[in-house]
Amino acid sequence: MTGPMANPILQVQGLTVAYGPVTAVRGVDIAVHAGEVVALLGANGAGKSSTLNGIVGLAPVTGGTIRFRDEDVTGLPTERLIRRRLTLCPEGRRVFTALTVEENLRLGGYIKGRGRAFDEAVADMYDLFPILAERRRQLAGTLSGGQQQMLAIARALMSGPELLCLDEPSLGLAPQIVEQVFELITTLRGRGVTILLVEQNVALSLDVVDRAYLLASGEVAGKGTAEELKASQLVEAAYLGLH
Amino acid sequence: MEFFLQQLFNAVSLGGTYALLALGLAIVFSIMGLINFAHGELMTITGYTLYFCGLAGLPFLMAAPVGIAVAIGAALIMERAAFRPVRNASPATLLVTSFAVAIILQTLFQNLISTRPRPVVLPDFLSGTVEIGGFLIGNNQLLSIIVAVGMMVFLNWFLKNTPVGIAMRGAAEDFSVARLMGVRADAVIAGAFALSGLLAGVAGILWVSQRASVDPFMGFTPVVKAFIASILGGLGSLTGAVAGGLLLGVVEIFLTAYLPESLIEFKEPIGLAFLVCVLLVRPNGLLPARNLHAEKV
Repeated sequence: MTGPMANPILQVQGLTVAYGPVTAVRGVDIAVHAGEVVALLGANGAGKSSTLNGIVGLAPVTGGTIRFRDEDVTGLPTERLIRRRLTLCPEGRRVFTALTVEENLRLGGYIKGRGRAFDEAVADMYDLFPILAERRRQLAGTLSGGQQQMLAIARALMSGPELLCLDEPSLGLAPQIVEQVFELITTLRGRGVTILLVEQNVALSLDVVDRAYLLASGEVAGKGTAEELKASQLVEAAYLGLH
Repeated sequence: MEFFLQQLFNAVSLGGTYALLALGLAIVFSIMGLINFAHGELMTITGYTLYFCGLAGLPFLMAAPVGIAVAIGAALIMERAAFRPVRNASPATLLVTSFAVAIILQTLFQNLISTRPRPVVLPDFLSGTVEIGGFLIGNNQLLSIIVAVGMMVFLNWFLKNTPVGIAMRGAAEDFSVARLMGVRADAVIAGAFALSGLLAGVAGILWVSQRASVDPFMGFTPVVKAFIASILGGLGSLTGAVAGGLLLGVVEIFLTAYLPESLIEFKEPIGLAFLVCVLLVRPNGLLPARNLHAEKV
């Protein structure tokens, strides 16, 4: 098969994530195809972030398999996944506040070493985020929340990921900045970056994604294209715990 | 006035060595939350390397880089053999492990080499003096100051300009996110130990060049002093380690120089009381680490 019907770039089957006795994610199946933007939606505590963290190896996976680009990557340590071009932009931005903007980007491109590929990636990020070029010598801790979010995304893009997992990029940002973040997701999709997005902001998310999964209590409670979900009652049900 | 300047020179020379040791402690602590009390034994290992090189007839200037290389190697072996297996354990376990490593090494030095101090042959130029602005300065003290400053400049360059250095600073702030960027935990931790070994080796050479001998417990007192210096400066903060080391050197030298003879035996408690007063005013140290959450990996 070819085109969008080829094997998904990410295929998660029966993923279970448990922190000791607490199971946060139970048997979740997700597929993301190359070039798609897919959202995981759901209420607080539904297991969205745990799913992403499980995929990138930051949360303990106790069951299921994760296939990325036709290879089994279940249980691979985080630092090796980025070399296979899968990375996560974590919730709460988590930029390195004691490093300058440019040093944050350098660390984002750590796997590229110091060659030309690295310089081009930095120039590309400054093109995409002019504000970061202006602030390149500033400590990341002195940036505003929105600028820190841009830096966190730029840092994740530095490694040239095939799949970018974005965890709550609009969290805690002012409304007009939130719009910028969603515009950026549209821009990235135009550049062919495949994105798996976790978001609280359902309405804006459904405007920018192709498909979405609804999570409730750690399980998939529904899925569909953005249009299907906009028209259905599933989203409200998932948020109200009515699934 | 001349006496004061002379003492200031002594203070900076001693404080610089404390600062190098405190930097070594701070680098490892900021990455993995371990206060490595076996850091002093790396100094001792350098000292014995100088001693054995002397026996083999190697000149001091060639023995010194060998001593530093051996300290770096020993730091890497220490990490691999002793600290990697307990990396995810509690801070208390890490601390006790470091004491165990220190005591094992001290016992080995006593049983395999000697319980008595061994002489280290120093080159003549170290015992000479130079005259600067009308007062005499020992060459070995001048060397201490130059080397300490040189090491600090190198360390600053390394941490700001090399990929591993930037990765170490990032990992010190948020280890999980550094791993997301592809930074391997083993690589940064080994890098931190190698740097601490380098600093301990250099400090060991400076220490020996003031004393011309090495004994099994040589590293113990300086590492305790360096620990005090890093608490004083702010645990895990590199600039704090330098400030704390220098302040400690100043306090020790000036108390020795200016205390009346009847009080001189109390110089240590008086010095420590002064440092406690500093911590009462600044409980996190002089220049605390900006974001210290030494996270476990």
